[in-house]
Amino acid sequence: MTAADVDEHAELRTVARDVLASSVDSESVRRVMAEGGAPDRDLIGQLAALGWFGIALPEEYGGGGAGFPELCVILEELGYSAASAPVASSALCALAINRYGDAEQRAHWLPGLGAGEILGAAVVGRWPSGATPPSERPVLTSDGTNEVLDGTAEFVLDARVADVLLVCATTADGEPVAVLVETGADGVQPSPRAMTDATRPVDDLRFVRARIASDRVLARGDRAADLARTIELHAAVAIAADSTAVARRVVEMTTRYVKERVQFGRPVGSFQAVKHRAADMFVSTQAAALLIEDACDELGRGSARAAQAASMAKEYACATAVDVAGAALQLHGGIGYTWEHDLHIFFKRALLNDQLFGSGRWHRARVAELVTPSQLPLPSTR
Amino acid sequence: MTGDVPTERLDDLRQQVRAWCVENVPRDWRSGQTGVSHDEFVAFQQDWLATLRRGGYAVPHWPAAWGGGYSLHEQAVIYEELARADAPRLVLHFVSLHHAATTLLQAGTEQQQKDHLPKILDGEVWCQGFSEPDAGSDLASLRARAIRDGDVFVVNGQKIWASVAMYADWCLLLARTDPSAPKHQGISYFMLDMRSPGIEVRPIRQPSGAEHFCEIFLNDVEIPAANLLGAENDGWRVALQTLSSERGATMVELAERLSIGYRWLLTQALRPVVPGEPAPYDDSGVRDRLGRLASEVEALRLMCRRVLVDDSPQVSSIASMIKLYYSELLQRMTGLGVELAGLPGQVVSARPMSAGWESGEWLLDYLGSWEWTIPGGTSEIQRTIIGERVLGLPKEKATK
Repeated sequence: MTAADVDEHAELRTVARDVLASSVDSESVRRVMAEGGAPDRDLIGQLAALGWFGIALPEEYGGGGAGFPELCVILEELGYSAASAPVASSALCALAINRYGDAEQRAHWLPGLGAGEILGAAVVGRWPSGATPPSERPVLTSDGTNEVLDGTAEFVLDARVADVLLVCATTADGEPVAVLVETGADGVQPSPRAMTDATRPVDDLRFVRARIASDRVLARGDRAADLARTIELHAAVAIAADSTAVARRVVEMTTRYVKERVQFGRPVGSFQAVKHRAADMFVSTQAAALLIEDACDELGRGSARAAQAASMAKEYACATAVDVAGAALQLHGGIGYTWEHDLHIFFKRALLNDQLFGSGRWHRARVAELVTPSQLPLPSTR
Repeated sequence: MTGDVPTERLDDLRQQVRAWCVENVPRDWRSGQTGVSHDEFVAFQQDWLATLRRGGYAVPHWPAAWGGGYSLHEQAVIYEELARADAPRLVLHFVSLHHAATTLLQAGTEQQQKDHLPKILDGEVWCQGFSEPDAGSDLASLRARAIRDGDVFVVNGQKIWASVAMYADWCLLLARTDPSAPKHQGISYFMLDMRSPGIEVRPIRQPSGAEHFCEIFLNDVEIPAANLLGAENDGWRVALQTLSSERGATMVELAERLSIGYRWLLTQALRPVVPGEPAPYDDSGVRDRLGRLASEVEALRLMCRRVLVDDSPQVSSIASMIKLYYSELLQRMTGLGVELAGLPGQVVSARPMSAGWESGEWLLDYLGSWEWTIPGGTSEIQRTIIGERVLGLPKEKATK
């Protein structure tokens, strides 16, 4: 990032934080949780009016003309407030259409998705979709006159609220294919999963002979495989952005608390054992934020390093949020270990994020694979 | 915020330095520098400094008037390319080129700068006489005493952990000039000629077997008052400036070397410890740890780069963060190297001189990593600084 980018992002962040601070609070998050994660429609309307759903879409479709890095700033602030809003899910859907769809598809979907009038979600299948056996993926077959989709998909973020699903499926002969499926159509059955983190909705999907018109097919074959990889990388970074903000939030909560909490006649934050742990929480959170920025830049540029940067950001930020939230719980002592306190909300969100869009273990193995050994000989003199 | 440097100019510089490195980095210097005498080490270092100077890359961080004049971004490119070419490190001159020069430039008089900067460029070696046996993390409690006697100060005391002091021509010395003042206010900063009578230097042997640090004993050593750096009793402030010079573009080089080190670690992991058996890399647990280290190395590089684009006030605390992150990461990384190298990695090995932590012998590098987690403010001190200055946590009450 250049110095100018640093400034711009800080400004966008301030605006987003102010907006969310006035519309999302502990009470509203708990209301969402009681509903199993389904977002508040008023909030969606408000975010739509601000243009957040279309921030990264081209201006010709009514979008904001910014890029993935700016979208991630918004996603971070949604994570910071533990909000439920399918901004990332919709943006992933729109990204696929913008990049892989034809002119008609773009014109048909993008203005609505960008305006937040149509909500989207991405179904990438078991992680990573490329490694999911075709037998376990939704299958697109022809019944003679039409193409139809059959099969299931588990743990789809925001499926319940989406109007349209981007589904990375396969054909009967195992060729990748990416299609758009309207959730209101016959043969599309979402069923909610009760997740421990209930700040966002997660659903299973069942497709039973769901008709897919030819203009709902985005890509086939290699292009569809490429689409799936692209969406996976962006999804991984998007969820990592959410986690890095969760980490930032709990660092702030903890810092405030240990300054105020007095034991043995002084604030507990003056004790080294507490202070040092808080410092470690801060440092790893900063490191996570830098990895996210880097991954956003690389993805935005479509560079060859993008896959590596995305996996680094995903594994580090998501694991850091879990560690930091766990440490925050420890430093809060008894008060943090209650339903009444908000810490557990962030902790659980971090725990779910760590498993969504590829586990930390998967991404670390991917990083190990992508970084190449030294071209230089080992310096060993032996 | 700093303005952005045109990328083409940086790319040109990168090509120039890269080409220069191909021509000038001594081939096989690691094997050449293994098991050498002190004299051979010093000769090699002086030679490498002279080579760098001819190329124009010895002091990129100095002002143009003194032979430098590169922007932070350009310095980063130079250090990055030197690291990528696996060039030798100027370990003998590190204090003179960085700490001494920065202090002279910030606090020295015009005369002092004229007297010393050109000689430093010629290869004059400096050491740092800050720590004492009873003044480590609590540096300001130092007791070496300097008493004014007309035009000279007479110094008595003991300094410790002065790297390369056995080769040094000069020493950056902190001594107490006003014992009645509060501890931070009675300290002065001197340039001490190491050839002065009354100085004894004893190397300290470290766990790795190397002797890099020294004790310095000062018995009635006379320092001309003209060798005060900054005002009398203002030494603590001057010293803080010196310490802050450890950040900036030099960290870019260290991050780059760590990144290369990671790739050596990967090479190590791909090698079976016992021929014919699976390599450590085939173990998914090892891959998991490697993946994490790679992310951390990248995060460190990004931290160092951020210092280059962001000059907001918060950036000074980034120095503590980088120091902490780097040294702890170095320890974990070299520790994994030891684990992967197996029993053969435990065999006594010789360390090449003129290298940094990256000798290529994981065990020596691992042992050496405590040279990062302890000096220059221990990891614990860095955490305290971050906790208090960045997070604003309350100070711990000092005990007398």
